[in-house]
Amino acid sequence: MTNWCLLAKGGMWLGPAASTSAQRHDAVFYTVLYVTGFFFFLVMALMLTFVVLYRRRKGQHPENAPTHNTGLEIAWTIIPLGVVTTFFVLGFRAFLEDDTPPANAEVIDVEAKQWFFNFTYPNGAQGDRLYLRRNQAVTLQLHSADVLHSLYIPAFRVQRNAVPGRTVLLWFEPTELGTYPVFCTQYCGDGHSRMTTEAEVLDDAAYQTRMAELANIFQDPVAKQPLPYVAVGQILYKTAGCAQCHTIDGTKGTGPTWLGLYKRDQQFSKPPDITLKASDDDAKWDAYLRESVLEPSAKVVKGYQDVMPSYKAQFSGSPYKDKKLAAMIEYMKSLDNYGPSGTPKYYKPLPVPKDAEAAATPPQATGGPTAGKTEPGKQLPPPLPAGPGPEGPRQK
Amino acid sequence: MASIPVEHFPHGAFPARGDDYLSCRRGLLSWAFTLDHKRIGVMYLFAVLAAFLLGGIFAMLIRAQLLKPDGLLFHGATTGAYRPYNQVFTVHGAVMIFLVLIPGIPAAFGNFVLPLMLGAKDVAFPRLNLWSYYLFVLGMLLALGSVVFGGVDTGWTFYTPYSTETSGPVILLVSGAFVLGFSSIFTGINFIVTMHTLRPRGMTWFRMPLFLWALYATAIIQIIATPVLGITLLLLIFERIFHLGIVDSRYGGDPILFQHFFWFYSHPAVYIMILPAMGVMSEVVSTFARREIFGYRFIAMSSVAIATIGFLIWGHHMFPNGQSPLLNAIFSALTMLVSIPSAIKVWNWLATLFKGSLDFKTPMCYALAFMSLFAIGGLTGLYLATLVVDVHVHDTYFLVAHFHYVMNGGVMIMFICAVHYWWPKMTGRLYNETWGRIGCLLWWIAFNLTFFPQFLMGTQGMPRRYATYLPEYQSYHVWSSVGAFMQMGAAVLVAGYLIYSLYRGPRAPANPWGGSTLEWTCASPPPPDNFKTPPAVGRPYDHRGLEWDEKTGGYVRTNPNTGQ
Repeated sequence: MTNWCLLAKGGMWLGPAASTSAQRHDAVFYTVLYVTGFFFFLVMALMLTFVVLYRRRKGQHPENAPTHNTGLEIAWTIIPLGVVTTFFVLGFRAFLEDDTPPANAEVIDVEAKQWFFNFTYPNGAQGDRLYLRRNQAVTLQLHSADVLHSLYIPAFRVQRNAVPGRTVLLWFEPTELGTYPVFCTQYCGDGHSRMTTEAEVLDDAAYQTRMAELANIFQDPVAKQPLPYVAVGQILYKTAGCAQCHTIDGTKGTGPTWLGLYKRDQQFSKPPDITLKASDDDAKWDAYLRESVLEPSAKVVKGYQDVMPSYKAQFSGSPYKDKKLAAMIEYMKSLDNYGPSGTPKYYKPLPVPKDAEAAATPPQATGGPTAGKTEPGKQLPPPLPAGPGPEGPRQK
Repeated sequence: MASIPVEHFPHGAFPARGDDYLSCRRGLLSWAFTLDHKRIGVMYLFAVLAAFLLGGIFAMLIRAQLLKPDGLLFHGATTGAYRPYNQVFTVHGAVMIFLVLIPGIPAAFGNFVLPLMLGAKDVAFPRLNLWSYYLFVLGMLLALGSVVFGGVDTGWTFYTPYSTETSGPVILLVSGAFVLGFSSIFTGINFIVTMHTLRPRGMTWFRMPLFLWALYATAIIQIIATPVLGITLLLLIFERIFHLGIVDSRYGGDPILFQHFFWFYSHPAVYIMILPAMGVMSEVVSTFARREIFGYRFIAMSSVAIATIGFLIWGHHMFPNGQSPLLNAIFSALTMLVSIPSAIKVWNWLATLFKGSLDFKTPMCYALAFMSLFAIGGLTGLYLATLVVDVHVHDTYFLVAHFHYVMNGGVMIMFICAVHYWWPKMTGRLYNETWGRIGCLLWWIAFNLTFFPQFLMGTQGMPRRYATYLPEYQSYHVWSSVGAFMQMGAAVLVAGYLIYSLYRGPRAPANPWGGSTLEWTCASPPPPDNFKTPPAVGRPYDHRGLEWDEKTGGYVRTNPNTGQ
């Protein structure tokens, strides 16, 4: 329900304050607001007084109007100078605190991409939502995979840019439970205004549960059973940012739709003289799909731009991540609709992972040994009946 | 002993047809090849107003899009659906900055008024002046070509690496801005040389009207800062074509370096925009208060101070990009410092109203509107200079609102003020005062309705350059859009009565307002060579002896202004 009155939203200025940095910011903001407000009304009051007092009357000439007054000039130089110096000191001191993370801050890695954020938590879990613990300071380690971005959480009063080629740190300590919007504030192209997510502040227990779930996406958190790869792939489609550019219903997005992508004749603008045909064998298609995720610029489909960032950080580097890639590709293949009445023609479901196997593989904290990289097929556990898995278990 | 310089046109007589600069020669070629600073000023004014209309139309598209959270004009399931919106705000920004705000007052009114105010026959280099006009037109065509050939979606700031990667005619728009830069530099050189060499006897530096001081400070920024923009834009073009790897991170460059280069010009550029507006303010306030300006030297020197400090504060555009706290502290402190000369000006204008004899003609109404809007725009700059506050409101609608209060509420309001103030001098016609005041009031209300809600939603976190937004911000956006449409209405009204005055307006006297500077001693419109003999130069704001004359409907000087 839209509130049309601008004044009745729990105060005109600022939104909810939910972090220690918000308390520091708001104290300075209101100081500046009241002082500048005073000077604004002073100027306006003087102006209106003069406007009324000295309006032109017939036959009247301004008499003895002063043309300069050095004392007054110095006064209205020195007093504003004192005021702005105070603003500077207050603002800089609070900024320094906002810029210096405490020793106990937990580090969350943030990769900004067109057009989503990928958060990597201390236990290696990844996702596009920011989960936080109340009263636990966190340092966000921001970097960008493509162009400039910025991570902004109004309720915490924090904002830093994600600059390609650099790492920028940002820390804060949430103090209130709740869900708060997160924005990208540095213009980054077509999907800029869609590059939003949420920060959810949880209490300790809920946070631990959430982290455990997030760390093992191969397990259904409710049924405590392994999920089929295709269902995991479907979750990843939503949480890894694929859905920003690729549709699954056949409509054209920033990138090609995934519906019927598998074994569809492909023409490429880069490199120009290569094609991929439905008749090409499975291994060639598998290699192509893997490459499109990890090295998207290697082959660019005709009619689309070379804008997709690489997903190496999310989908390669550890056995766990390799398995995620396998699940991802499994989901893409499941969307081939060449069979009768939309059923897959080429796609043959992979077996569901054995129960404890997936959960027993702890995700690597940061970038596992690349030497352990194996063919995704080789990691697959023995066959089990395929689960239905049309819907991912994780509901937002 | 100086005489009263009305020798061409004794009171009661308007210049005969063929005597003024507008009618002395006829035909398109007489305009295309003119070297007369007044005609060039009028041609600039025409081009700038056309660009203003275009930028305004794009502003209306922005505001129409934002009426609905999902977007009214451009919406869809895929991100590509929002590209047109991004192109629209890029065109709005680029046109308003490069084609309206920067050339607006200095090129149009600077050209027209500077030699008249100075008491000179023309600028120092009339041919260079015409050349700079044609460069402006060329730059304008290049920039508008980019709209025709597909549109650019980089934002007017051209931040790398997005600007080096995105498709579209980025190079065309950037080349346009590059050429416009040269036009600006040539104008700046011309003005500086004119003020150094063509001052008549008696026109000392401290007798120059404050508008000229403002133009001088502006010209210094134009010739020092604009080359840096030129280099930066060339670098961007080369980066796009040859992938040099200087500012594009994909090839090993550093995007922050581009921001330093870009803002080293583009921050001083906001003073290229606002300083002339402040100069107009000083003229108008003094004329309509009918008294000497208060604190002449402080106002003159504050222009120079703004131009100097303005070069040292570009880093405040980059507070949240991870630069070192030391750098942030230095830029924050210097930014605080630049507010002082602006504050000095405001206090002096205020003091000029004190014990004046205030005549609320249309230009004076705009001047009072400017006082209120510039006060808000300037004071909210302090929020953005205060580091911890900037970290919250940076790149939100708070910044958008601050910028528009200074640029639209400050510069453009003073540009419209200047149009009204010098309209009788330029065209020889008077417009309708009642409609003028109504237009000003309407514009002021519409302006505040547009931009004040943006401060509120900015502090509540609404990011800028968003084609879609969360529903909780909708009420602010709707108010803002309604205000924007009202502004367009006010602009149409103003254009309407001004155009009407060209055909049906009464003839303007030489000095309709009681202005004390030299341009009011020429006839309206002035003769092609301005002054037959060098005019007598006295103190710039001496209103003693200026008396209302019923016969001509203007003011005449009854005593010689000898500068005593």
